[in-house]
Amino acid sequence: MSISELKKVLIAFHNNERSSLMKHLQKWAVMEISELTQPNVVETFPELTRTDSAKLNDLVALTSQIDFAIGFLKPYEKKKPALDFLTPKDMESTDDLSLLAEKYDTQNAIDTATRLNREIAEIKNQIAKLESTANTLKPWLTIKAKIEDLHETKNVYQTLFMIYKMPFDTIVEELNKAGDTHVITLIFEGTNYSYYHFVCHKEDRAKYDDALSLIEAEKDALPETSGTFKDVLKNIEGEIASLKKKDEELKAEAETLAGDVDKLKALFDHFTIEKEREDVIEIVRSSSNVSYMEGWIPTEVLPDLKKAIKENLSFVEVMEFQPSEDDKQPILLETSERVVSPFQMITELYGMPDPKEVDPTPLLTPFFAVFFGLCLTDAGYGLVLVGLVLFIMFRFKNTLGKTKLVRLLLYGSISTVVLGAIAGGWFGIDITTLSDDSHVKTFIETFKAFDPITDTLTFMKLCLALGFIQINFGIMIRMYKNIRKGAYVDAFMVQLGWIVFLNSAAILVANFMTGGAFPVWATKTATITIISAVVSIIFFADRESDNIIIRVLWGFYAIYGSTSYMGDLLSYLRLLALGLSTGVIGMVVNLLALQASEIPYVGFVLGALILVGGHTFNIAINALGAFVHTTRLQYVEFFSKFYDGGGRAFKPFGVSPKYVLLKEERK
Amino acid sequence: MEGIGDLTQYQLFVLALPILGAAISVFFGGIGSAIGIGLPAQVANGVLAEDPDMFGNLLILVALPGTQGIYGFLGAFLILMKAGFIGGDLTASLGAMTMTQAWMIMIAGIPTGLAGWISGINQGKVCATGVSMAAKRPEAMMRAVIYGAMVETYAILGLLITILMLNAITIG
Repeated sequence: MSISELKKVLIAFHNNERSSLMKHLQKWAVMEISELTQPNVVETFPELTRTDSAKLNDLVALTSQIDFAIGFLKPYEKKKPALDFLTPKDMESTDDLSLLAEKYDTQNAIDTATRLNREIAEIKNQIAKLESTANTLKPWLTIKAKIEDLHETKNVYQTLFMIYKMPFDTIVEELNKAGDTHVITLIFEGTNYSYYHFVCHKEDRAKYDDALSLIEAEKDALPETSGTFKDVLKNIEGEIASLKKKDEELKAEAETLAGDVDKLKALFDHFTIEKEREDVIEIVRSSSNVSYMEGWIPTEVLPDLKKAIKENLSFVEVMEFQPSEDDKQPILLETSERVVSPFQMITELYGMPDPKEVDPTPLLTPFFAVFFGLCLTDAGYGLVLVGLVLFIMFRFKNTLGKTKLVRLLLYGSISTVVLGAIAGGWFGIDITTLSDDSHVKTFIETFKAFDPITDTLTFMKLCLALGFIQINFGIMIRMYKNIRKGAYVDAFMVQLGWIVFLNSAAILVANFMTGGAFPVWATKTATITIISAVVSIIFFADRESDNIIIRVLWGFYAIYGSTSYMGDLLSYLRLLALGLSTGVIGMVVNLLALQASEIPYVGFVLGALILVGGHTFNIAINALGAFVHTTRLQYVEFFSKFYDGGGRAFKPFGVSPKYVLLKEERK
Repeated sequence: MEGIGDLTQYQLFVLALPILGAAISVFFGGIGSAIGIGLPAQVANGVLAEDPDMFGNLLILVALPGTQGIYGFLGAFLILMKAGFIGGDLTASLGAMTMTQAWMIMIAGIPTGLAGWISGINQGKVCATGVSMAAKRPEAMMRAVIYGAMVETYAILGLLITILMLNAITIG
């Protein structure tokens, strides 16, 4: 249906043309390269060996160095203006990148970045070391004597020490116990430590040392310099200042280099692209002159690719061949179907279909759009979303605007406008509060078909009906798949049985709920059909066993499974709850804004803030909810009826630049 | 709310019940979301330490368990509206509301509150593991979001029943 047809091709080429062929294939990005399997080639040329890329290791090193430089320069880049993200990026071509790679001295930039990184770190270390030395010197500043005079002399021992939180009297007392030849002077008293100068006769030193260690005095080693403490500190501070100046110079240099960051980013992409090319080469098998490779190519682009190769290269041969049975083709969903293509992201997220299966994308598209709208049911919010999406699509038409998500949101928001108008939701305005002749009220009521808040039951019936349709549709698709496969018993006895069962049950339940509003013939027919459907399901749901009793027992179990349809159906009520909550939160925001606006003086501003902030929040949280829960309904309630998945996504060999935006260069 | 001192014991009780219902709805729903957001947010912080650019991607998973709190708030708001505390005439509805109706309104707050409480916490756990999964495979992030939404179903059903219960009660 809408799975693209792919061809398996074998490409044989002369080794000399390897790199230019790879360049072409990468530029076109239409071929998924795989291991060589073609029996003729594999059996005829057993001597083919893996191709080793000579450049790969260098490129890996180079890209990681550029990556390092970009990371290092990040803090030195000029601040971008706050609204910079609103300016779309320029497109570049691979030729631009190659030209840049030739002109720009990449190695120099990397070396400079490495050197700056090292030097800045060194200076930071040195400054930290000097600062900590300066801090240890500061308490001793009042000592006028030179440091060289503070060492011990022939008869006198002297030292500097500090003590943690101890009264001076206690210290004196302890020292007095040890001897009587000492002099102790308080130099400085800090919050935790006090600092002392201590002198004693050299003969008594041992006794005093014991006393000092008893009171836990910490001796301070003298700096190995001369001059007063003040002089030393001044020197250190001078050194720090000059280091800081050097640091600034280095940082200025880094800032200059940071001006090249955009170039480095482009080069990173350039060399990454080249690296990916070399990566792929490893899968190519080659002899001394000829190489072979294999892969999948979409049938529709194959002729163009062949033509392009013929025009640009001389010794390349592209051959289609029939792949073996277990060589399953990867899945590429048709990209030309403009309307449903955004919804492919839902299918892709779940898992690709099997090559022989139907693509569920077009089948879920209408449901997705409607359900998304129902989850929001506010035409005002819908218009805001349409505006936002259109802005993104035009402003960022090469990046975000191209994504499936944004195009999917466009459908979702248009559906929100329509369904919101039908439900009378416009920014949560409560029309009961408006006067009868107000234009807004007339406008809203023109489109309004029902009120979800006062008429919740109608909304509920609508959700259940939509769910009922989707569930039946799902079973019908399973039936179609079985018919196509030739499994007629499954299709007509089981799937059709379920469809009849569900519809008859629906009639009977509706008749019961409305107190017998249906004509008697309708309920009678429904009773008969439901019984025959049950019988059919009981006998045919499981045909594994030859034993009729076991079959019937499994059949009853299958009937028991009908409760899951009930659960599935009720699951659609989430649409009601989400739709209602959007409307009611909108109303709450309006109410709060109205009440805030009654505050004197600041009321108007406050009210406007609540109004804008509240509605923005409501749109954001409910649009997320709408997307997530609509997707869930497709996966759990719809896909479970028919979809098997199990396909592998088609991953063409191409470019995936991290920073730059590349032009598509496929002609 | 003038002359509240003149209310009889009976009338005070009739007034207090809907307030209790609103409190249950917002309180338990709020706990559910507070814990529920806390779990993935902690994991996300760890991931951001490695890769700060993941912030926007992870935000969805972190914010997902926030809905329970909103549903709780919504349920409380609808209860207060039904009982006439907001946007209505409290004195008129006080005269009209019977004790049975007051009880009914109170009980209507329970489904949203309790379903939000438990589901919020569990959704938080699912989202937290989702965050660590998305850290390794950013392209699979939406799948983790869908798993989170599985848990949220029951908070939605709770809110739905609260709405239906309140719709069934007519005062006056």
